[in-house]
Amino acid sequence: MIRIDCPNCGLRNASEFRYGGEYNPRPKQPTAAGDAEWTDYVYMRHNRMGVQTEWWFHRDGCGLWFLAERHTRTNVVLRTNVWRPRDAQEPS
Amino acid sequence: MIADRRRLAAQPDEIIDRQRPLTFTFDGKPYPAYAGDTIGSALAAAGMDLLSRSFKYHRPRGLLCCAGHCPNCLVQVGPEPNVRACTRPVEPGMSVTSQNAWPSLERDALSLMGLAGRFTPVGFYYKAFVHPQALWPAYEKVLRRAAGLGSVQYAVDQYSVDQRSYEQQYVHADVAVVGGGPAGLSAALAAARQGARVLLIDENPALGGHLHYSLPQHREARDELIGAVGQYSVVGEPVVGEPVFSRSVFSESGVEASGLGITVLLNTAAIGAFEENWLAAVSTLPRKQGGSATLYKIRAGAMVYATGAYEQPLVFGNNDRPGIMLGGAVQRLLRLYGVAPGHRAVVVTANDDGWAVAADLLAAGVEVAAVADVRAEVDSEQLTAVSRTVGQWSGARGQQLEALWGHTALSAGGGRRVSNVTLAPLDTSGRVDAARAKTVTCDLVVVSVGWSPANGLLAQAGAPLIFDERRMEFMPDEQGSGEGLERVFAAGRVAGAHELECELTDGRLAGQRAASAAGFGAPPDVLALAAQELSRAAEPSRTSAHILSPGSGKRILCFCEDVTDKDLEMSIAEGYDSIELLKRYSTISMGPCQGKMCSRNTLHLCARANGWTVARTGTTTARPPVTPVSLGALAGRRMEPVRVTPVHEWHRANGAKLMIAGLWLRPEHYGDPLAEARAVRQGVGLIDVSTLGKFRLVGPGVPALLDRLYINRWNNLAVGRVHYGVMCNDEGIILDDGVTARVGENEWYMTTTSSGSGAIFEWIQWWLQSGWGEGVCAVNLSEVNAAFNLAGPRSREVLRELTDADLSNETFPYMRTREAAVAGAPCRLLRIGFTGELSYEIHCPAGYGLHVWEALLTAGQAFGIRPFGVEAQRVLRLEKGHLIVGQDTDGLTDPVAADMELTVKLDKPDFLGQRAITRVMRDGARQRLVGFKMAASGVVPDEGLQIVRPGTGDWPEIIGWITSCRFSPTLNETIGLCWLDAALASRPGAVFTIRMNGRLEEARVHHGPFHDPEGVRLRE
Amino acid sequence: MRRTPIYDVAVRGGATMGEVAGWLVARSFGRGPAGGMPALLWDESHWRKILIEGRDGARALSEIGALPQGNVSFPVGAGIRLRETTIYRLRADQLILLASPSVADERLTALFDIEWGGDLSVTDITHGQAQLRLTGPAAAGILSRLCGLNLHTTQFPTLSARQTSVAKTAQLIIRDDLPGGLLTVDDQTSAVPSYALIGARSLGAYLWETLLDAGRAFDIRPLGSDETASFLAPSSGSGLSP
Repeated sequence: MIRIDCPNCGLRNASEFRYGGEYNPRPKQPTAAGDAEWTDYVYMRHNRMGVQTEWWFHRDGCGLWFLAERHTRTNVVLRTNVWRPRDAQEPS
Repeated sequence: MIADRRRLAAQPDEIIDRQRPLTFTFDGKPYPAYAGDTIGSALAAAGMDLLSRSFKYHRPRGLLCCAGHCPNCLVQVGPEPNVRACTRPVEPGMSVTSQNAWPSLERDALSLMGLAGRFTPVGFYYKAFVHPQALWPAYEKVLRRAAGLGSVQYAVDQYSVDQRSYEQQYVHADVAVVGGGPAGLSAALAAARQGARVLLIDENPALGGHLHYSLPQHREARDELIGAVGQYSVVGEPVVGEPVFSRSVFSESGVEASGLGITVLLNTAAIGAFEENWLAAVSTLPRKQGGSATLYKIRAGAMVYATGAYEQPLVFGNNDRPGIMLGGAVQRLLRLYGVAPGHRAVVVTANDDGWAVAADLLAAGVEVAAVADVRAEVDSEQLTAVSRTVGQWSGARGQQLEALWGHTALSAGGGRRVSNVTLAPLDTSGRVDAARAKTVTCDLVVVSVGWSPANGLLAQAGAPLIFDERRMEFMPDEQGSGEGLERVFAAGRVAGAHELECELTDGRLAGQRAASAAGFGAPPDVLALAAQELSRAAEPSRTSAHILSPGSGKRILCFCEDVTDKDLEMSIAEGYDSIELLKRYSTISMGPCQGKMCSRNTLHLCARANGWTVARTGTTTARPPVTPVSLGALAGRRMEPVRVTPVHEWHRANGAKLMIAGLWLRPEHYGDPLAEARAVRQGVGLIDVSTLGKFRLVGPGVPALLDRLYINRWNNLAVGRVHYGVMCNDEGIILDDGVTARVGENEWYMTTTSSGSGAIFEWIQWWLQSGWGEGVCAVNLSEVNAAFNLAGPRSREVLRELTDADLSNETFPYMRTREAAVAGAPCRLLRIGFTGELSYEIHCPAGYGLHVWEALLTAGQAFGIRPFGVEAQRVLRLEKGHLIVGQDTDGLTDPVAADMELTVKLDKPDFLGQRAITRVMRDGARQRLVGFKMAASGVVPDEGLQIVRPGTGDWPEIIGWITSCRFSPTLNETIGLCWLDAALASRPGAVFTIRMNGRLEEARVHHGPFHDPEGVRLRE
Repeated sequence: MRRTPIYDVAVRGGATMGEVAGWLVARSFGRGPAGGMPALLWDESHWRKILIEGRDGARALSEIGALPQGNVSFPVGAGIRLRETTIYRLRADQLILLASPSVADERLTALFDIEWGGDLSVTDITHGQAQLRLTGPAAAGILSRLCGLNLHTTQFPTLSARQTSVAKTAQLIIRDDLPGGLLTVDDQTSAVPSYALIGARSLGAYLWETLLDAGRAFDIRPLGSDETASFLAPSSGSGLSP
């Protein structure tokens, strides 16, 4: 079983976590966003083969939602960190 | 009783205890044995050669590997099928039966299958039993009987599957070593000496591996290594290890080595290697040890695989006759169990190992008629020593041992036991010269022609394996790289080190490297590694390229599935030339041995038939389990969490029919749901709604948060007021609904549906932790508070009995909340009405739950109170036309279609679902959720039935479906909710038809609540 | 009268029930003395459990004297004992305070009067959590059958907290060893491993039965409050005063 490094609890078995999908920040001003941008946010996912930033939730642990950079082919989790306000600006 | 006439006098290395004789039965007949014997060794001692019948042709089979690898000795022990007789320790009174033979092992009617062999070629299942498909169940019954491997019994007796306990245990170690042979022991010691906590696992009942039975001069090394690992007994009770950290008091049988942190798990087979050094291993202890199988889930900082090698059979005519055994099997029987496996032996070999077996046989007093060595005469240092011994022994006994260089076995004779073997010379190109063959009488043929590294686990761990042309074996590629491989090491025979010195050095270096990779001590220096590389390369090859001798009789390639070399050829000729396709088509390597006895031979024969190199041919993918494992061990302890409310025991004791809702157990009803519903309408009822989600939200940021989460408006809600809310996601889909109360200026109490409780809290947490958390703290009180709904026109009178709080409609009207002591317990009351009657939702700390529940029922007695369950609640809410999220809505339901347009406050600056809902409001809904009444009140269509419009064609048009439908005891009519074509749904009284069991039933559209449409009763 | 989530399973298990600090709890299972037993299990669900959320939690606690001055920034997973309460940091923004049910500490009352600064909340979650204490030399062995956490002392020392999955349920595990000599006569020096499992009340009965079942091979014994009182003296300094 792979392990995921919870930013709060450290390395834990993946079964303690819930997957929360690709990191997909919501446009700051939903009403101002163009239709294409909004459609991308609501419906489109990248489904990358490679390193992807995604949400994980430590469900059986501390209850933290955090971001993980995981390689979707090897399952290697390169980095995890809690969400910071500036993450919302970065494109995923 | 049958005598153990093949038992030798006491042997110096034997692991049986002759002071402890015992008896067991095989196919009903009693057999003698000693403590320490396996089923297989005891049967061999008694001269019982025939242990099973083969899978397809029902050919007689006996001990082949004697190491738990091949399928030949699979037997049934009590209710447990597919036990390997050669490794399962025998127990007093054990009842062992043969498998796959009818009417008996000796006279198996289905052995005639062998004669029909040419009508049952490879792939015949696929070809013969395909048509007609309807007959497959009948075919299957016959095939299962013919090709079964034991039977699972459910009877309850002392060996019952029901009484076996399956355990799982997590184990953590710095370094885990798989294999307790010389390389593994040496690796474990080296890693422990560098300060690592080491876990050492071995599938055998004793550590030491081949040192116990290979060469006598290994005895000293064995004693030294095992002595270093810990005090340890070979005879008697198997040593059971537990993780070091948990054994401090219970070490009477646990091994904690002399100051070194080595934990030993014996009788434990590694079954699979997974990511990040996660290893699964199963321990099958004899029943007297507690009768359980344990699955260990091991996580190690670094791994050493010292898994050894499997000796490989030779493919020749009738090479599966009982009495034809691998060299290691013979040595095990002789040395460990003191059993002579025959009287007159012929050894077929291609390396020095075969000569060592010949020496052992002679030492035990077994006549060796001939040694046929595939090699043209060789002169190695070790062989000189061994053949001198062989010469001395045979000379001293006046025996004629014939050394046949450049010879091989062509075919074997005999029926249920081998009676002779035909030997033939090989020419320089490796072709067999059958014309110059000669037949030697014997009752034992020892085959020792090569090894296949046990690298299944290594391959699963991701180690690249490359074919070594000189050794004729696949070797782990030291230069290879891959994810996590810097913490995976191989040592000993699996890595090509066969000589003892080489094995020990290999182990020591691997142990040091593993410890260092796990953070303990330094790695060995580069020179030592280079020197070891050289000494491994200097070892002579032990594995012969000679694999097949074209003698007469079936030449079995795959013992599990009865696949012959001819079948292989035919499959390749049919086009299945890739090794992976060949495996799937011919079923080679797919049986109980999982390729241990056949993969290597298949690969070489496949390469030759294709004219390819072995490297190009490649290998099949190694998958767990490496060794068979019972499903019970994989399932482990029965762990099914179940949630119960604080009133659960009361429900049980009072006749509730319980239903499962998520993990919860809830009362569906207490015998008569309609009477329960009537009680609420006419008097008063009480339902346990402790399963609701209940969250406490604190802080100045809460109103803004609620405005974003819900489609309704919250920021103007006054303290003490309650509001019904609906949550959507940005697709505009309804997620949940519930009431939320503002209980203080900065404090809110939110409730969700029971089923949504967990998911909604995670949903809210997600928004809080990704930018919307400013000024908000959220605490889950779902478990802290019990909740009951006291509903019905007389509920106020009941509650008045238990509280001093003013409950009058003026001071505590509909949709308000307040705190109050109820029966002495601090409670929060919410005046809301899912049921459509005057009702109070009473939330109290869970510890008071039963107390408050019982107090309410006692107080309500005078008013005819009835507890009601989920079913009555469903009827009551349906009479009010309330939807249930998940029951009446699905993953495509938006609030407009669900008739909640008035709830939506589009003019809020931003909320989840705003854009999507704005669009459906503009475009309108295609279908709508709407109420209906059945024309015939006795007809109650099932939920999910289709609403159809009879068209002109053959098929009516589907225009909707039923989501909820019940007979209403209040209205005496059948009512429901359905999804319906929007145009039709907009016309109250419009008639539509429901397809029910081929009939069409009429129903009429109904708008608004069925009962008390003005909501007067709620507000009284 | 308040009941713990173990009430019904304890009654079924033959316990004599009685009142402790306003709670109906198992007083005795009547299975003989606890001394020398490899594994013991008892119910502490009636213990006070107070959750403090918000980044300013530790500072607020130290201001009312519930945390020693200068101990405001102790790490996640660590615990601090102050008289009869222990405080563990579960997250940067989350603390839990545990106290025996009879502790009438003015500081506990003061907790709920802390001015909420928008990012701070104090919630009594006593009623929502089952708290089961597994004690004895075999405790880690039993726990390792139900939980994948590395329980080695170097990884999980006494007076620390971990949140993880136990028997397929989410639990907060507190390790709080008992002083040596309390349970074993022969060994006065080494502490007795002890773990409190704190998790959803609705799953308490399930977990209680699962622990007893997993501990059967170790001869695990359930204890009532009278039985634990015999070795958990208030003076023991373990913070375990009943």
